[in-house]
Amino acid sequence: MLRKSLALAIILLLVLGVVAGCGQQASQQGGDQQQQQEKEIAFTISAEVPNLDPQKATDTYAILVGNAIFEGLIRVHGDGNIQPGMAEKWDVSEDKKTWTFHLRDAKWSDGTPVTAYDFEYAFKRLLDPNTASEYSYQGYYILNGEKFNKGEITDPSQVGVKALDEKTLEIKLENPVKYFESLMSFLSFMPVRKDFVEKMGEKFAADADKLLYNGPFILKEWKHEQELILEKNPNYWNKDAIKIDRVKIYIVNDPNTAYQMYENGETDWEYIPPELVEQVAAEGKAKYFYDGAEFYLQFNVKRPGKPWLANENFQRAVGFAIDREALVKSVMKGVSDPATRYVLPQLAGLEKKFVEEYPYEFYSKNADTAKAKEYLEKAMKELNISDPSKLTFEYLTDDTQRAKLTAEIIQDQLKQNLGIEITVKQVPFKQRLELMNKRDYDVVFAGWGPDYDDPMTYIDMWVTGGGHNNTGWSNKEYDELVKFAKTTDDFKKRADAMFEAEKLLMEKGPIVPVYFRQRAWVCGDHVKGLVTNFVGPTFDFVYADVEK
Amino acid sequence: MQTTGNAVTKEMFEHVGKNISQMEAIARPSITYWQDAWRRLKQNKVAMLGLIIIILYTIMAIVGPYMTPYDYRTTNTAEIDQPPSAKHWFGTDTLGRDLWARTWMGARVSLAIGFLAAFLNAVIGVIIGGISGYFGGKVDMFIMRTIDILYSIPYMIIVILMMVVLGQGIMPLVIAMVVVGWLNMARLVRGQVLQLKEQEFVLAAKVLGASHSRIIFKHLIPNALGVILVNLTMSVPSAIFTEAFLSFIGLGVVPPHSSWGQLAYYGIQAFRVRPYQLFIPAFFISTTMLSLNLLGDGLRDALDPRLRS
Amino acid sequence: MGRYILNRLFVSLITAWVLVTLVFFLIRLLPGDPFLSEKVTPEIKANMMKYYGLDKPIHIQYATFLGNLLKGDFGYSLRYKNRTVNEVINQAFPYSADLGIRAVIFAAIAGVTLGIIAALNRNRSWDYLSMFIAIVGVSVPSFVIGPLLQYVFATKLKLLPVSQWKGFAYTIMPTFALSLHSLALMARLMRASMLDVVNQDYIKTAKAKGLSPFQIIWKHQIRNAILPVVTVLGPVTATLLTGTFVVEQIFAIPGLGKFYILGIQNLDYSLVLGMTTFYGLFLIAANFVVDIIYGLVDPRIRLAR
Repeated sequence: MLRKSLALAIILLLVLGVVAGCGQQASQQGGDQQQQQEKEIAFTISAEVPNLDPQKATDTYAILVGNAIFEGLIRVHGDGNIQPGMAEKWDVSEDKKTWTFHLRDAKWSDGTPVTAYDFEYAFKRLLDPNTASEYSYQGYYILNGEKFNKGEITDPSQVGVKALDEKTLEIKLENPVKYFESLMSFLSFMPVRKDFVEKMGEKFAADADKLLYNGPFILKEWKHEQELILEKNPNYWNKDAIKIDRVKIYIVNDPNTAYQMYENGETDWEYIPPELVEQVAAEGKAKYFYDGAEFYLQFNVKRPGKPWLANENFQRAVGFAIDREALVKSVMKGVSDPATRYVLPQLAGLEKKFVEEYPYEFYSKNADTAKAKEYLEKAMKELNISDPSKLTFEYLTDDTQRAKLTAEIIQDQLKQNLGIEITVKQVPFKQRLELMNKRDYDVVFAGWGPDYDDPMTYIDMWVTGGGHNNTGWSNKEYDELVKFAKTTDDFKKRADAMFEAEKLLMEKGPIVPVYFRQRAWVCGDHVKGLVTNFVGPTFDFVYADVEK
Repeated sequence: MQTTGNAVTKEMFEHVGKNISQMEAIARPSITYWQDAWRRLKQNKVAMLGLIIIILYTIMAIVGPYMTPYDYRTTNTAEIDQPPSAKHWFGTDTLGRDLWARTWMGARVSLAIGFLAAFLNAVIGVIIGGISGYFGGKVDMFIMRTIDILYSIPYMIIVILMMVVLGQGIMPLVIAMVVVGWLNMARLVRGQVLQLKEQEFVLAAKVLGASHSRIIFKHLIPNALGVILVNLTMSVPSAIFTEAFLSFIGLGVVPPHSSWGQLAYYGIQAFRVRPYQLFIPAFFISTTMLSLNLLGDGLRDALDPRLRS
Repeated sequence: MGRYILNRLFVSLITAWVLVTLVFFLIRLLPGDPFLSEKVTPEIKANMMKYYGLDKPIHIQYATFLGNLLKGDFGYSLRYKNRTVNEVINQAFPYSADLGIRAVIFAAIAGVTLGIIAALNRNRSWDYLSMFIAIVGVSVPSFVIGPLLQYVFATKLKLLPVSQWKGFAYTIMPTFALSLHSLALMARLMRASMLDVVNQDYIKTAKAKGLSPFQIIWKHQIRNAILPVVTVLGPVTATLLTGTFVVEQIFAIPGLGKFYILGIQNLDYSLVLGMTTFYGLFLIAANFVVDIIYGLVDPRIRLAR
C-alpha cells in the first residue's frame, strides 16, 4: 500500500512538474512597464468573453468589447445619441421601409477598405441558418430575413440587404422600424470581411490575430480567462477623437476581489458589491445607473391542478402583497427601483421617455395589504375555495445569492400579507430556462433586458405563440394591439397601442413586475467621458479620457 | 557447599488446601474492549471537551430556536443588519431576520447533513470495502475500478441529477453526498481487511468452517472498527464542508432553510461592514470541526490496542 | 510479466471507456441544453443544435464522440464557440498545475516541519501552538480564509497583490489558502507518526549505541516517521489539483477548476466530457503505472492475481 502510494505520488509529481514548467512561461508576462506618456485605463469583467464573432456573440461582455473594436453603420454614444459610424450619411424612403446608407472611406486593421459588401456579407451571415447564430432574430426586421433564417427560402439574394456599390448599402425592411438606426449599432450588425472569415474558418475570432478590426481600438492581446488588452487603432477614421491609448480588461469573477482591485488602484472603475454600498454611499463615492434589466414574476396559467395560477384576481393579489420598497431596501440595499408598471422607465417614447409621455402606476411601491386581500377574496369566490392556504405554489428561481434573498423575502411577505405558504425551488440558470420552456413551473422569478431602445422589446414578449411567451397566456386584444404597433408607420398611434397593451397586461396578464435593476459603481475622478448604457454596451469607454 | 544458619526449612510453609470458591474469583472486574476504550477516552480531557461541545450544539440545535421570541424566517425590514444586542442576541441578517434563531436552525441542517451523510457513507463503505478486500482478485479489481470511475465523475453532475430526480431538500443532498462519499471509507476498510485477513485468527475461523459473511462481519470488521470509527468522526466535518461548498456554488438547501455554510457564505461578503455576520457562523463551523477532530484523535488513542495498559 | 501488463492495460482501457460513456450519458440527462438562453427561440436553437450535430440520434453522437476521442480530439466547446476543448485545457491546466504543485510542496514542507516541532516538544507550548495552527487549518472553509487573507494582506496592509497570477508575489496567498487544509492534515499525521516511532526498538538500539540525539532524530525518527506522510501525498496531490475552484474564483486565477463548474452550469457537453476524460484518464493511467511498478517490485502481487 505504502509503496504503491509512493510510486503514485512520484509519478504525479513528475507529470505535473513537466506541465508546471509550461505554466511558468505563460505566467511570466504582464509585468512590463508602459511608457509614461501613454494613457491607459483598466477595468474588470466578471467572466471570459465566450466569443467575439460579431454574428455569433451574444453576451454582455462581447457587446462591451465589440463596441470598441468594431464599428457598425451607426454608432450610439449615450442615451439616444445617434452618430455616424461607418456610414457617413443615410436616407430613408417615404414608407420608412427602405434605408440607404452611404459609407465613408474607412479601413480594416490590415489596411484594406471597409466596403458595403462587407456589411451585406455580415447581415446575410447573421441570417444564414448554417451560421447557427443565436441572435439571428435581430435580423428579422429585414425583408425575408426570418424566412431565410428558418429555411423557408433558400436564396440569399431575396434577403432585403444589398450592396449597390462599394460605398452604398440598401436595406429593405418588412415593416417600418422606429428604432432601426440604433439597431444598426448593435454587435450583430458589425461588418466582417468574407475572404478573411472563410480563410479562418472555424477559428475565426478565436484569438486576437484571428479577427479584423474597424473600430476605435484593436484587440492587441487576448489571454483567455485572464485579460484582454486593447490598443488604439491607428487606421480608425476618427482616431483624433480617441484619447486612450491602451485599455486593459481583467477577467475577475468574484465581485469582492474585483472591488478590492479598484480600491488598490489596479482598475479605474468597478461595481460596488451590494453589501458595501451603504458604506461607500456614506463616503459620497457611489454612483448609480440603470442597466436595463427588469425582474418580474411570471405565472404559468396552464398549470394542471392549480387553476388559481390562471386566475386574474389571484395574480393581482400576489402583486399587491409584495412590498417592493422593502425588498429593494433589504435585498438590493436600496439600489434599484420598485417596479409599479411593466415598461422600463428608461425606454424612449416619441420625444421624451415613454413613461413620461404615458404616466401610469398599477402597483404601489409598498404592499397594499387591503387591496391584496380584496383580490384574494374575489379569487377565492371565483375558484370556490374557502381556505387561502390551499392557494399555494412553487416559486422557481436561480441559484444565486440575490435570487435566494429575493425568494426568501417574497416567501415571507406572501405568508404575512396573504397567509399563503409558498415553496421555493432554486436551480441553476440553464435548468430554470429549461423548466420555463417546457412550461414545467408554477411561478417563476425571471428577468429581461432590452434588445433595443423601445418599449416593444418588452411588450411583444407576451403575444400568443411568441417565442418567449412560456406562460400559456393568450389574449386576442393584446395580440391585436401588438400587431398593429408593429406594422403601422404612424409612430404616435404605435405608442398609444403599446400603452394600451401595457395596461391590459397589468390588469389581466400573468406578469407581476417587481423591480427595475440599478447598479451601484465607483469611478476614479481622473476618468472623464465614460458613458453607461441600459441597452448595448454597459460601459462605453470609446471617448473616455484620463487626467493625470 | 556449606549451608548457612538461615536455611529454608519445611516448617516455614503452611498447607492451604483447595478452595474452589476463591479459585474462580476474579480479582479485578473484567472490562471489555469498549469499556476500556471509554474509560481511556474519559481520561482524555481534550477529547471529552470535544464530545461535550458536540452534544451541547446538538441540544442547542433542538432548543435554541425556541429561546428567542423571533422566528427564523420572519423578515423585518425595519431591523435589517442590526449588530448583536439584548434584543437580537446574534444580531439580524440582511432581511432583518433574527440570527440567533437562524444560527440554530442552520445547526439542525448542518449537523443533520453531517451526521447522516457520514453514517451512511460508513455503512456503505464498510460493506463494499470489506467485500473487496476479503475476496480480492476479480471482485476486488471490479470494485476498485468502479471506485476509480465514480471518483472521476464530476460531483456537480450527480448533485444536479439528484435534485432533478428527488427534488430539493436535505435528503436529496445527503443522498448525492453519499453516492460518491463512501469511496474513501471503502478504500480504507479494504486496506485494513487486506492486512487482517492474513492473520491467524482468520485462518482459524476458516478452518472451523465459518462462512464468508461471518468472517467478514464477525472477525474482520470488528477488528477494523477503531479505524472505521475514527474515520467516521473525521468525515462528519467533511460532509458539513461539502454542504458549505455546495452553498458556495448555489446548490445548498433551499429557502426558508439555511445552514451554517450558507450563513458563512453570506457573511464573507459582508464581513468588512458587518463582521458579526461572518464570525458567528464561522465560529460554530470551526468549533464543530475542532471538536470532532479532537474527539477523533481521542478515539484513535483510546481504541489503539497497542496503547492499552 | 508481459501478460500481466497486457491484462492490466486492458482493464484500464475498459475502465476509461466505462467512465467516458457514463459521463456522456449523464451530462445529457441534465435538464436543458447547451444553447438555452433567455433570448433564443426554438427555431434558432434547432439551427444551432444541427450545426453542432446535437440533433442526430444519441447513438450516432456517441459513436462520433468515441471516434474523435480515439484521435485525442474532444471537439469544439459549445460555449467558447471557436475554441476547442483541447485548447481550453491546454491553456488552463498549466495554471492549475502550477498552483497545485506549489500548494503540495508548501503543505508537505510546512506540515512536516510543524509535525516534527510538535512531536519533539510533546505537551509543551510549541506542541499546542503547532497543533492549534493545524486544527485551524482544517476548521475554516477556504471560501472564508481566502477573502480574509485578501482583505488583510492586500487591501489593508498592501503587502501583496489582490488577485491574478502574474509572478511570485501573486502566488503566495492562493498557495497558502489552497494548501492550508492539506498542511494541517500532514502536520497531524507527522506528529502522530513521530510519536509512534519513538517507541520502536530500533530507536532504543540507536540510543543504546550512543548516537547523539540529533542523529537519532534525523536518521532514524524522521526518516521512518515520514513514510505515512508520503503515503497521503498521492491523494493530496489529486485533491489539490482538482479542488482549486474556490481559490481560483477568489484570486481570479485562469485555471481549469472553474471549467468543471462552469462547464456543467452551461451544459457545455464537450467541455465537461473533455475535462472528465482528462482527469479520469490521468487517474486511471497513474493507477495503471503504479500497479505495474508495484508488480515489478513485488512478485507476490502477480502471483496473488
